[in-house]
Amino acid sequence: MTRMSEKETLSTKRRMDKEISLKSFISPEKKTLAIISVSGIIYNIGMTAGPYFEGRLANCFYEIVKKNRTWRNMLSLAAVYLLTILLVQASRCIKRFYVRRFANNISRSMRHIIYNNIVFMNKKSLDRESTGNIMTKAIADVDACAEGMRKFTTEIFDTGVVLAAYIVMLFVYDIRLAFISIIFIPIAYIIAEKLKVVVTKQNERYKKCAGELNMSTLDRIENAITFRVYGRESRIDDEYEKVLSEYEKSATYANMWESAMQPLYNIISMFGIIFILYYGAKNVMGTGYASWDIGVYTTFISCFTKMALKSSKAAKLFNAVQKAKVSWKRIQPFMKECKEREDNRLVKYDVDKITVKNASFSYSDTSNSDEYIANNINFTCKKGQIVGITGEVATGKSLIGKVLIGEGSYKGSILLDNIELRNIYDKECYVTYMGHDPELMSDTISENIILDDAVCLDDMLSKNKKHSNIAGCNIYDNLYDIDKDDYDIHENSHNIAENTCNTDKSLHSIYENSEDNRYENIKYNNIKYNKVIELVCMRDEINDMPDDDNTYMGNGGIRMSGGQQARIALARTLYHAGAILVLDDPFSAVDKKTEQKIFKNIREYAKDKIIIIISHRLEIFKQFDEIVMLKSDGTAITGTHNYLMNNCKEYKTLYDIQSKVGDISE
Amino acid sequence: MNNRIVKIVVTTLKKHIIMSFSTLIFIAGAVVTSLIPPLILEKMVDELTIGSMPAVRSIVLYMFFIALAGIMESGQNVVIIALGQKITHGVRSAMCKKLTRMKTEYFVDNEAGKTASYFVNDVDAVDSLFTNGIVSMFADACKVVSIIAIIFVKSVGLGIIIVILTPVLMIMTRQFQKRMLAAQIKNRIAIAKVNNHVPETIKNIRTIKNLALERYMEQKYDKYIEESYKATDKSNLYDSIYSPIIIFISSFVVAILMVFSSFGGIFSSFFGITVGSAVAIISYVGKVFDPLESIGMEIQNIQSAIAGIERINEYMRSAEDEYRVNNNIKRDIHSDMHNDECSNNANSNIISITSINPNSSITNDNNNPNSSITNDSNNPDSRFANNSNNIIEFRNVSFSYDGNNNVLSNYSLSIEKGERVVLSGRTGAGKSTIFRLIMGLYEPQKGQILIKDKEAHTISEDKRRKIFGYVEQQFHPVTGSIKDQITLHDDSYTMEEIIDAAKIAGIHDVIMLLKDGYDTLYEKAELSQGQMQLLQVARAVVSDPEIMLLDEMTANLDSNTEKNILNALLNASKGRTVISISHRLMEESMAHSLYTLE
Repeated sequence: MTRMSEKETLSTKRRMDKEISLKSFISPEKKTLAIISVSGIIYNIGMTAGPYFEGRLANCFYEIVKKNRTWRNMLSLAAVYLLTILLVQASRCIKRFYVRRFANNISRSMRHIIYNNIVFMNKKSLDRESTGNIMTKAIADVDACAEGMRKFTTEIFDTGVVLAAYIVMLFVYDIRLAFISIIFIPIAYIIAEKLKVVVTKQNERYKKCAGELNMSTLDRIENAITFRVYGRESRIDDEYEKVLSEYEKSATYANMWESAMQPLYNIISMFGIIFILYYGAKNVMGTGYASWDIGVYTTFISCFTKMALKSSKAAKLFNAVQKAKVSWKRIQPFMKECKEREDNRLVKYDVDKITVKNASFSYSDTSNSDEYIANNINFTCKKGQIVGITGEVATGKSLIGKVLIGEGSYKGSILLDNIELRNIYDKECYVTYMGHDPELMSDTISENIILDDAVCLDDMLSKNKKHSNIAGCNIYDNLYDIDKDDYDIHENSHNIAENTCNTDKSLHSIYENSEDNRYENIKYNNIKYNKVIELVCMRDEINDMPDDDNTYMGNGGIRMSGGQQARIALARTLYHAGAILVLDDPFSAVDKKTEQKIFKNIREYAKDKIIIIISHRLEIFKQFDEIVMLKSDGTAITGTHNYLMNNCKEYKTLYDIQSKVGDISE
Repeated sequence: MNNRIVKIVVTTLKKHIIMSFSTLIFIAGAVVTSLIPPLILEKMVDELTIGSMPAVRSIVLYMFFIALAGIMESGQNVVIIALGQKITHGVRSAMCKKLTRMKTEYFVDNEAGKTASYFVNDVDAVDSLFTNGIVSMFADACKVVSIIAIIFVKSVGLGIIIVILTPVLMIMTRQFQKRMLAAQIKNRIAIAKVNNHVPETIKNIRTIKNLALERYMEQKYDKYIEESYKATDKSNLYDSIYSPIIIFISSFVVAILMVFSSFGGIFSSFFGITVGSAVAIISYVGKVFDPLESIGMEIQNIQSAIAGIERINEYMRSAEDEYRVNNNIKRDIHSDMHNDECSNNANSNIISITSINPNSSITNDNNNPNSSITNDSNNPDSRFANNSNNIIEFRNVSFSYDGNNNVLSNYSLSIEKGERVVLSGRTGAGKSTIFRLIMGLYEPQKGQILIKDKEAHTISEDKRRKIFGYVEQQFHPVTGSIKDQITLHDDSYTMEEIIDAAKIAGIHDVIMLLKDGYDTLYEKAELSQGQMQLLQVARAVVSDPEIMLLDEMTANLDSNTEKNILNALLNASKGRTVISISHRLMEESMAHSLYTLE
């Protein structure tokens, strides 16, 4: 009972899956957004300072020519001009940086949350309806969403605020002239909107042609030999040429519409300049709507020109909002509150005995009676014993192993000592499992086994030399010595194994405050690592690899052979072994001799563990304490090898076939 | 850089000489017209300073040049795009023609996806090198030079300042861009790790649960996003600083100009400007810095495109098949083929096999007393010369893929018309090699391979399909409809011929059940493994070939399907010379002879 309550504190925090709103991403960014707003407003209003001061400078020069002012006036004006520009550009710099940081922050926290959601999903829901695929896509959507938000915040200032500032400035100088001149801008905008239909159509055609070209290219290359055999190459090349021409045409049109129209819209927007040049000059002459000096004239012109250019890009603002919205909608369902494990380290609990009584197994989580695959299975396994599970194809061998780690369900009883398995939430604290699929990471060999970033082997090697004489690490030195001395003395390796288990938990507390804690941890893990590598007979092979233990395994372990992959997965399982080891087909890709050797090693190493081996190969089954034979009718018989040979026809047949074809050495 | 790409580009430019010229004209036009409005403005301001209204003509002219500059820019964009597309078209065409001349080894040694990415991605790099690189750099350089020239004319002092400043700014720009690129590359690497981590997590979720690695995986993931975050942040920092600096410098130049000009006296003769030219120059100074930034980007574009171009060049340099390069492989100039009316010896049991090679022995498992094994490699020609019934002859053939290890050495074999032969032997003994040699995919280093007295690799494309029918290990679908799967896009087959072929293969009924029959798109037909194999048989027999080559099938088929395929193969083999690779079905039911290669 005490163990039960202990367990509860360790179990994963279960909160309700609360969806996170967009707001909760933005609210931690309040400070960033405040900086963006202040600097953005200063910068974009300040954008008018350029044309304004340039007009003032020109006017001042005019006055100097007329001898109304001196160069001193000019100097102070120029100084104010430069200071203003400096301020404006500095705010621009700040705004620009913080807008990007804002997007970067959002992207980071969204990615974090999505990943958290993935990693805490169980296998079943990940398998369902290719959830995995959807999640992978969702990650890509995060980028689009963050990018959309960035563009949105950028454009709000760079288009929205700045256009307003320009317009206000124009209106202040001459309200009537401003009206007349900017009337062409909406016209340009309307035309652009109308032509958008054409642009979209051309783009669609272009995309289609690009797709066709890609397909034809791959087709031409992939089937090159087939085409050559049948003498079709030259003709297919002619076809390809047609596809190329079609692609060229569509690409040219689509890109043309995109980039040829922009300058033309600008021309339309610029028509207002005629009025400005004429009525503006009148203003300067004193016969217009307002009274201007020559500086205002040039300011007005340059301000208008900049505005016209800017406004032809205004559509970007709306596009950015649209895109961000779409991506957010797609990722929102995956944005659930973060879950976490309370303890980083996996705490292992000791178990003396597993008792399986009248248990039936099913793949589904909540099963009906007719979905049970393997029925009425009985066996017990104590510390130091080995139980084998075998049977014909599709009798549910692997299912039994999976149920022990919490996939699928069972009826009847499975007791770990005296706790019912279905009541244990964190089964991983008891059962360590190795499946068919080695499930390796794209990392180095040592990292794949140790699976702890803090203990990477580089550190081990370098620190080993440095700290070789540090006091207080006697236990490990001893261990290390034993380790070095003789691997073949099983007595010793057994000691190591035992020590390994017993010291596992105490390790942390003993060296909790020691500065060398990390080092000790590393050293201890190093010994354990070397041990498991020896166990699976890989030391020599690894030493032959380019970077020894730090050899990169490739994506999913692709750079290793199937046998190496399986053995590294086995080494990983042994390294992390809990009280119960479930090994599903651990020797599938190794030869008989190695199988025997590894099995012997495991037996010695895991003397204090409960081992369940699932396999269709019976080579080593003779040495097991108990064997469960699953029959194709869904029933099972349990007994020793000899008992089954005498009492189970199916087992005997299976065994005889294997010895006949040489799978079993007599 | 090897010049193959350059050659293609030059050829394309020459071919479209008018377009190439108009590109130059548009670029020059865009540069010149965009420089004119400030000059007109200068004149108008100057007129205003002396108190007279600017002429309406000037105003109209101002608008006219703005419009013209816009049109020129638009035109420039259009021609550059069009020309860029012509170039990529040219490059892809050349690359495709190369495929036909390529040695067969290339397709065996190189992944299709990799080669396809040369065609798709790397050719796009050529396009961007041309349009966003060289051409636009030329345009920008023109802009910078002409603006500086105008500034010189207007104000020598300012001209000197700008000339000194330009290279400094250029260097600064490049420094910024290089740093940004480095940060971006770092980011891309980190993102690749992030993107790999998610599917890996999904794939390994069982182990993650069982070893309680959630936190470990999360930390790893966070580490990757942190790497990406930092790299992005760095690149953002450079990006944010750069352009404010440029604008400040340009303001600084304007301020200096104005202050110095207002000193009067000696300065005014050096910087000497009017109010109008001050306005014009301010607008020019603003314009001179934009192209500088673009040039930096263009240098970067060129640099990143070069890797892709190098890959294409390497592809273009791959070894070619000499016969294919030097001859018209499409059709024979004179038909020197035998008349097909050879006496049909379909049921002949006589097997001749001539060995051989010290490493590879051939055992003939045929029980037929008539079959003979002759070893007369010392004088083979005398024997072959008088046997015109041999449809396939290997005369002392030695062949190796790499030039060192012979797969066949001094190997001879002859197969008569109508014979049915099964080749067997362990993997790597050379069964597939014999197939490929018969089909002329490889040229032997020594000896001759004669198909109907013509060397196998010199058979023209037009003849091939009348001679060879090939059922491959796996079905390779081509793009297009079900019909295209059978014809391989050859329109010369009538619908009757196609249906006949499908009937022989026993797939006609299945096809008729599809939505659009023979015109159903292959992807939409959702055929089973077995049906695909049948489709392949139809592909092989549609041309009514003389020789049927049956490779061993790799697909895992249930016994019922296997029976269907066997029937199809038996049908397809009727009246033809058949060679198959250890096809257990064929061995049992129809072979005349079995060769074991060891």
